[in-house]
Amino acid sequence: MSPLIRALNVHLTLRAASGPVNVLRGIDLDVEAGTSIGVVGPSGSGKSSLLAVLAGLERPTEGRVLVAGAEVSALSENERADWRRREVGILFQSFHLIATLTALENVAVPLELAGDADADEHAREALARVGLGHRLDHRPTQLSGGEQQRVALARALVAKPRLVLADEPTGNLDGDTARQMAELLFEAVREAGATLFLITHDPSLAGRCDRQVRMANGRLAGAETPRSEAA
Amino acid sequence: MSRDLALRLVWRDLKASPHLLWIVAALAFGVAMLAAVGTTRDTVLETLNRDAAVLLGGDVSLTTPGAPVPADELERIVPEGARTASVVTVNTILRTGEANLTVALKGVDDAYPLYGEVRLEPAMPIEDALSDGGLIAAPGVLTRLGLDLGDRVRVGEADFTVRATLVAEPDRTGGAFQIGPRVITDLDALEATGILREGSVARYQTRLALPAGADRDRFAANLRRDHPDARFQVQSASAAQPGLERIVDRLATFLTLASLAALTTGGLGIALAARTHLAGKLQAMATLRALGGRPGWVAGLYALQLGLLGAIGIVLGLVLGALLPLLLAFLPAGLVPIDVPATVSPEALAIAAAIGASVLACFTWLPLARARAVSPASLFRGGTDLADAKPTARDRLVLAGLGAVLLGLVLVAADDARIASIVLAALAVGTGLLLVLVLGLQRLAGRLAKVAPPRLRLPLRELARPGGETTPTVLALALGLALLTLVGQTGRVIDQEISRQVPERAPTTVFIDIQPDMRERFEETLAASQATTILQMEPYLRARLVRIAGVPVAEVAIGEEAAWTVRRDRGITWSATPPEGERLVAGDWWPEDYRGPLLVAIEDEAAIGYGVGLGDTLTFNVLGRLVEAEIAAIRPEIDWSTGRLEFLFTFSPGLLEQAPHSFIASVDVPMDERPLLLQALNEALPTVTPLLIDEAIQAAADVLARIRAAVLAVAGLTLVSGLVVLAASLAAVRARQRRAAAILKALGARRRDLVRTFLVEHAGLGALAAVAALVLGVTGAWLIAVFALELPFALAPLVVLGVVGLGLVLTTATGVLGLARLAAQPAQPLLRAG
Repeated sequence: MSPLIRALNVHLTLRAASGPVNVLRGIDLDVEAGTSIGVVGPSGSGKSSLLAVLAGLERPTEGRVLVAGAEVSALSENERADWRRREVGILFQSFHLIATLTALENVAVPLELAGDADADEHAREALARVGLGHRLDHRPTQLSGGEQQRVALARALVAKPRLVLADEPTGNLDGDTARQMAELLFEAVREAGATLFLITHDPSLAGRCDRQVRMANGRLAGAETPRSEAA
Repeated sequence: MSRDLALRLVWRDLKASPHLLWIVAALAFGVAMLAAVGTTRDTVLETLNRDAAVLLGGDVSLTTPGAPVPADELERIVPEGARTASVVTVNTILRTGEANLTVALKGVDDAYPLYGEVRLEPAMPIEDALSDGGLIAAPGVLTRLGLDLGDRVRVGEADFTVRATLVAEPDRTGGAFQIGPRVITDLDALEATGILREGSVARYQTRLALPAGADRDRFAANLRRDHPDARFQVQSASAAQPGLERIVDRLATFLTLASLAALTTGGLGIALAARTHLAGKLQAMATLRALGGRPGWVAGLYALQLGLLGAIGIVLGLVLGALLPLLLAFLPAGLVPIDVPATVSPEALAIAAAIGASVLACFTWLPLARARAVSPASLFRGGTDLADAKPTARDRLVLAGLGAVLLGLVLVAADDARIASIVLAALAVGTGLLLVLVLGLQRLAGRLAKVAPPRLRLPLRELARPGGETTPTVLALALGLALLTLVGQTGRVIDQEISRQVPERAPTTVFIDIQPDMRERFEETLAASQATTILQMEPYLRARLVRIAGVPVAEVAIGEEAAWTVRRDRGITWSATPPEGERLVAGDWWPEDYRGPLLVAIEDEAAIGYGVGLGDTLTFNVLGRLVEAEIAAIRPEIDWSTGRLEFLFTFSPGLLEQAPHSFIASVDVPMDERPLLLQALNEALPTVTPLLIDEAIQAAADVLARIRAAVLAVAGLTLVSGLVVLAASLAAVRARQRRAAAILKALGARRRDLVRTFLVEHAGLGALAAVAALVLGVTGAWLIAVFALELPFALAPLVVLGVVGLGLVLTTATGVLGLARLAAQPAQPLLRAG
């Protein structure tokens, strides 16, 4: 079985006012389809940048990225957008819901972008799955942090992507809410049969993944930790 | 991609972004101003030009002494579609059998008057009054000769019946002073009197009303060029009123300037509002892209949004711009002394709309391009700023293209492309200078932040922060204030020029033939009416120029512009002092007590026409005696329309005082008291002749009053649209302050601290902008006054301080008003959303 994610010698250099910053320095990584991978590491180690590269939001300065059958690093900006709409769902630490749209409308956005005629119906189902069937018409500002993140989860999964990228999905939530959110995330991803790429500072959350990798200084550092060992 | 989603996003965003109304307001004001100016400008200028034509009696006039222009020659000259009227003027004697009176007789044909209206008392058409030997006489004639309507009078060998008195004669500026009051007859009847025989001093005029759209100045110039040896003298209406023409030209320049100012300030408002809006939407844009929205589609959403707002603004502006002149037309006459056309000019509206759309595109392209360039990966980095994203080379190219289109449209719309180019270039240079100035002042604020008391450090640092809103906001604020200063100051310069040309008290009556021994009696009689003022009283005698620099006039090649001055006797005077407020072109006026050899001051144009200068001599025939005078001073061109008593030749006192002379006096007497005064004077001093000149002066003054009103109205409109922009620029600051206030509150800042911080920042913004605006606005106004308008620059401190003070008050007041809400808002929602 070929891996869903394949990163080959990925480098990313960002230009900053103080000079170029080497954010990623030669990442090699394979992630099998239908599995989950937890990425841990200190702030500034390049975790989020790796996620952005895998999502096609950032183009690597060097190296190749193949995700879900496409060489993402070789696609044009528009091709990447189309590919992302089909194959990727993203969950942000700060939720990033669109403030002017209701919960239902926020979830329907990826489907509507894909021209799905039944977008609302599917969005409603997705929200019901995350337990927000009764909050369809609320705006983000009318929802709690946990509810906002559940809307974001529904949005990430609604188009049935093969890959779910989650950047500190519980980072902005309190302990109980974070635990509930984690439960929901793993269950939903497993139900959807998607691959999960999870960035977290929380060892227990990382421990729930099929495997864990540690990043430091723009590189994958040390041995990978299978779930059984971490647990 | 989903159209429904796009429309929903656009609509929701619009509903949630009331600050976007600034875009609508800025565009609506700018477009309304352009449309209103475009619609009215041509008509206002046309009205003013028509007034000039009314004063001359036609667009162009051909004058010949002694005999009319031969019919066959006239046929070749008059263009197709033109109307002509013949007028003959001659000084003659009106006899009643008991008394005689010297009058200025005017014979007119059926086509007279080509422009304007002759008003009579009793009211009747002029052709009725002149039919069957009818005669129209100025009211003074009837008083002087003791005549009533219906009485018979004799001119030469023909008898006439007095049918009406003359109330208003539109073309009454021909020549400085007539020798007597006006009398009008039919031209054929005048010929029957026999006084127009060969060698008479009659003046024949053929006046032409050119077809609509014809350029009378060019027509007159061509006529002069094609007929260098013609006997007729060509005069165009514009040249007949040189002062008026200059003012009309300046009005056009001012309108161009004000429209450009409104346009630029409007554009700045749009740019700022778009920038603020997009800066707040970066996260939403990045999110949409992370969800699979193509960059073009996402940017397109916001372009559509701005486009929609722009379309609303433009439509509103067009409606306003079209309605404004119509509304003015409904106001009571006299309130707005401008003839406003009750029509809409589709061309002006189309140009205003096109310029509005180009301004929108030009000023929103860059923020949109920057927003499009913001990476969605910024979602993982805790936000980004518009200034972080650099527009691509293609974006710059598109922007340059849009700029070129806008420039082209502005040049098409502007009345004077040359001045528009100068103003645009100056605007570009000025903006560059302002940027340097603002950056320098920001750096200064940064330095001050290091040494200032701790509580002032935060606002100073906010001001100094590079890449924030300070630079564009202060730039917009300063440019807006500078343009307002410029328009206000320029309006004032023009206004001053107009005031100078319209004397505060214009004479309504001129009295001639006041003998030296009658002066006292004359003054006493006038003193009986308290509201009557003698404006000027000058010695007066008539003389004819016979030699120029020793050469007989007939042998001198006199320039066309001065030829009329030697054709007959002219009124001359002497004076110990130069005319008040006049700057000599060359030479010096003689000392007040000078009694030496005769000196003379002549008009510049005459000196050029004669080919003489200071030190040359002119010889005059004064009552049969030849008198030689040396030219000591050259005066600027005389504007005959102002109502001042003007003389082509003014001599030094002394020698001429010995010659028999009389006095001429200009008097301001209220219209309702005039008949009584004339009656009283007629009884006391029957030989003193009144000339009622108020009509002509009034006509010129009316035109100037109209221009003045136009200048003030346009300056006011520019001010309003400028204020809209300033308010828009401050909205940009407030959006950031809301976030800053939330953070500061979270950090433990008390309400008082917030108030101080933002108040200092607002006042600082205002002060930065005011300093920059003062420097640029006043410099710009000086450049425009001196180089474009060619008028003396005088700083109008009230205007300058007013505009700058307004800016300061506005910034601080907006700060204070916004502060209460800012300080009271709970921090949590803002912090959570951010």
